[in-house]
Amino acid sequence: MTRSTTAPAALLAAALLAAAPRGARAAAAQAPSPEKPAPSLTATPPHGGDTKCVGCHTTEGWGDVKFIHERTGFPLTGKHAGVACKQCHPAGFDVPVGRGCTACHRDVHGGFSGMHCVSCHDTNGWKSRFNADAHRRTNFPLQGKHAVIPCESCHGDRRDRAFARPTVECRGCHEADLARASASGIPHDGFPSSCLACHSFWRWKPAGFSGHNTCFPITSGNHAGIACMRCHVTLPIPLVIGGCNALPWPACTRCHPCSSVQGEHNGVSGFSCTNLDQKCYQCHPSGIGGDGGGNRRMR
Amino acid sequence: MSPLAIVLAALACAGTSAAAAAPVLAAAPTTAPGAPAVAPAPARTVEGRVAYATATTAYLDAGAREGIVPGLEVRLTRGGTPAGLCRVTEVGDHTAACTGQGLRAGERFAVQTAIAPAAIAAQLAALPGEEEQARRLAAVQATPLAMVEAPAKAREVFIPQLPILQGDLGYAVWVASEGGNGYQRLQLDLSVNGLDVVGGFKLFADARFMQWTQKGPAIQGSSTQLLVYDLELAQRDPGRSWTAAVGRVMPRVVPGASVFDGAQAGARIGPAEVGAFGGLIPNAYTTEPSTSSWTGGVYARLEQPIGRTLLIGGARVAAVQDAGIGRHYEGQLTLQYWAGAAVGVSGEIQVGGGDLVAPGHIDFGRLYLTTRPVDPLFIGAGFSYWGLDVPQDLVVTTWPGPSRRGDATVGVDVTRWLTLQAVGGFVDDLYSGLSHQYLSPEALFPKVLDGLMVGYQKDLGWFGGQAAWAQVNWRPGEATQLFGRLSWFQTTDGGNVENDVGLTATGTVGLNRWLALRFSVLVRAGIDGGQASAPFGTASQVFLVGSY
Repeated sequence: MTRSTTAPAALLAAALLAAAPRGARAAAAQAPSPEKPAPSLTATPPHGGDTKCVGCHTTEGWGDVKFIHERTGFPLTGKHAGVACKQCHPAGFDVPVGRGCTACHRDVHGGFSGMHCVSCHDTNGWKSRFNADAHRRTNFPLQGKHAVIPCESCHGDRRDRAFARPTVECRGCHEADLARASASGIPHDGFPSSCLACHSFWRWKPAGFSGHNTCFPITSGNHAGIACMRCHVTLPIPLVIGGCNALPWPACTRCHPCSSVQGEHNGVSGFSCTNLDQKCYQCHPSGIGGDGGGNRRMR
Repeated sequence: MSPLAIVLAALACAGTSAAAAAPVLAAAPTTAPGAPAVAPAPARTVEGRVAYATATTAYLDAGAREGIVPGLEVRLTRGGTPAGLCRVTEVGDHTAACTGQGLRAGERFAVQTAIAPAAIAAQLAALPGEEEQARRLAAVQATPLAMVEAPAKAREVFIPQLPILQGDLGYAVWVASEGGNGYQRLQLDLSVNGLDVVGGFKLFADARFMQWTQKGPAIQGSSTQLLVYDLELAQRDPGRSWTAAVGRVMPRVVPGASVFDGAQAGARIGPAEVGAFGGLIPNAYTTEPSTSSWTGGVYARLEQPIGRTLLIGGARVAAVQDAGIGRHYEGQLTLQYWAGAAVGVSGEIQVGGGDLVAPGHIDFGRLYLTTRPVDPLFIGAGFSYWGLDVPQDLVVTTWPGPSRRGDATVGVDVTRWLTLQAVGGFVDDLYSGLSHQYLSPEALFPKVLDGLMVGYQKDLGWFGGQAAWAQVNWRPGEATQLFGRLSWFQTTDGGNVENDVGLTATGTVGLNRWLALRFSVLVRAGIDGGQASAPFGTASQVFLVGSY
């Protein structure tokens, strides 16, 4: 929707100006300052090249630049939208500019964190948008309580803000907790290095061992929820998940002494109070009376 | 005809024929005393289309000459059906920009304006006869041209700059339902970004003060801590042939150098800068000055356009004495290359030796690639390796362990409102033998508020599990940014299954040009049944940010 208005408008303006008061005409006549030589009509713009003025400028003034930067494949979002053109294009728009962050920005991480800044930062500011959720793409996803502790709890380099740490087994940080557990009567020395087989990310107690069900159900039935040391005099070392050969045998007779079960096993072949802990398990591997030689639940 | 010519023509007319102007004056519309005022111009319809559109701005092919004015509300249609609304913010002669949501090029509009060119023309004087016009044209053409700087109307052009001074004062809390009282601290961040001092030297500073009001065992040292990352006087004016910095220097253009208390000096030779640096390395945890760690060496940097592409290279050769690695001699090389939006490659490698030697003397190396081979498709990939096995205190670790990691992203801009991408990666810890792999499809809807993303991640390796999330960015105003994310995490390590949900909300609210409020709230909760109580925790902080 264009129309030619230049010629009539020029003539109209000329006529109106001709009729303007003397003062205005005098001011117009003095417009080219004698101290300041008039610039050349053929002067090239300061940014060089074969530029098309209307691609960036409007008739509102030269300072009012409107360039659709998305066309370059580098949209100016966030803080970038407020930066003066010359800060990124000091030598002109024809000189290529690096698209990586480090082409313009200093690396405050001393090179430790690589050159892929957008993993943690965005153009809205240097305050990191990296949080516990983003940590899931590292070698130590933050689940449970790990998500709500300060970064400094694990990352010690505050000089170069490297956020570096080798991924270590749980005891790399929880050695003291391990010692405390052993001192409280639950020896953990032979346990697997991954605490997660029994403990959650939120708390040490209550602990659960879902692998135990393979040998003896403790998440349901009569034996659900009882503490480890109620049955185990000592915990098997090494702990082999699914091995079903815990030695010494769990002490069934602590709750089921011979005196209380002997009467119920009258006539049961092979029943003996000798090595009763082992015999209990051999006949009742699920902890239920009916799965052995008898027909009643263990009490 | 340019405005210049118009002015000159007017001057010529005024100077040569006052009589000729008289008829114009006489014909000019006048309103006699007591006569009724001229009736306002009737409304008319201006039609046009959206020539180009970004996420929030549409560029219209009609402007002030057609009657478009700032503040005008423009209803857009697509195929005859309503397609949205935008409000005009800027107006040119025949163009205008308006802001709104969901704008697309090609959409049409029709607005009522109160300006009717025909009505205006009817009030103007009739043009003079052809003879007179020819005479005036001849006068214009005979007049020598000279550029006139028209006295432009004063107009404030606000070009935001990075703040010279910035301070963030706030309070942060980390607390969980299980065990301990958590962590709490008062925090003040101060930064000075190039305050002119003397002789072209500028002051740069970056520091953090922390007062722990509640401190768990994982935070070593005093409850009151001051960390000084940067405190230097530096001259790095791009127009000068030399650079210098002294103080606690955060070395620019020196790849891989740590912060040091000392000096850096360089000379610019064409597109290159070469120089030397040296000083004492502060304590990594407290940033206190230290005399037991130091570094010194030389560096070079090259920034060389090659046609329409750009190559940036950097190199450093240095000796380092620091806790953990002992005496270390190292050389680092970085290269970055961009060929427009099509290809970007960056890589770096450091070789070294001394008290601690990495396999093959390769301390570390990294490589990143981004490319858009065809317009809707983009690919990014990276690989990094760290070879040094630095013995260290595992409570306060300051070095990474030997590891390999890689990641790749493949995405397609399906439409202007949908981007699909897949992210995959792995991390191999060569110290503990633990490895983690992940694969994650994501869908981004850039037109929903200011970006809605939904994603899923499958985890393999020592940390098995899965996660899913939905997150949204929203900028309800120019100075307000909000972000929200709802997540679900599941871990299946060791046979136990553990489920958490998480909620993250962050935002910045501009109070005025100098002050803003920044907040962040992260909440996590366990959702597995059968527990005595559902565990939960939060990491939250609120800051008042001042900048000048």
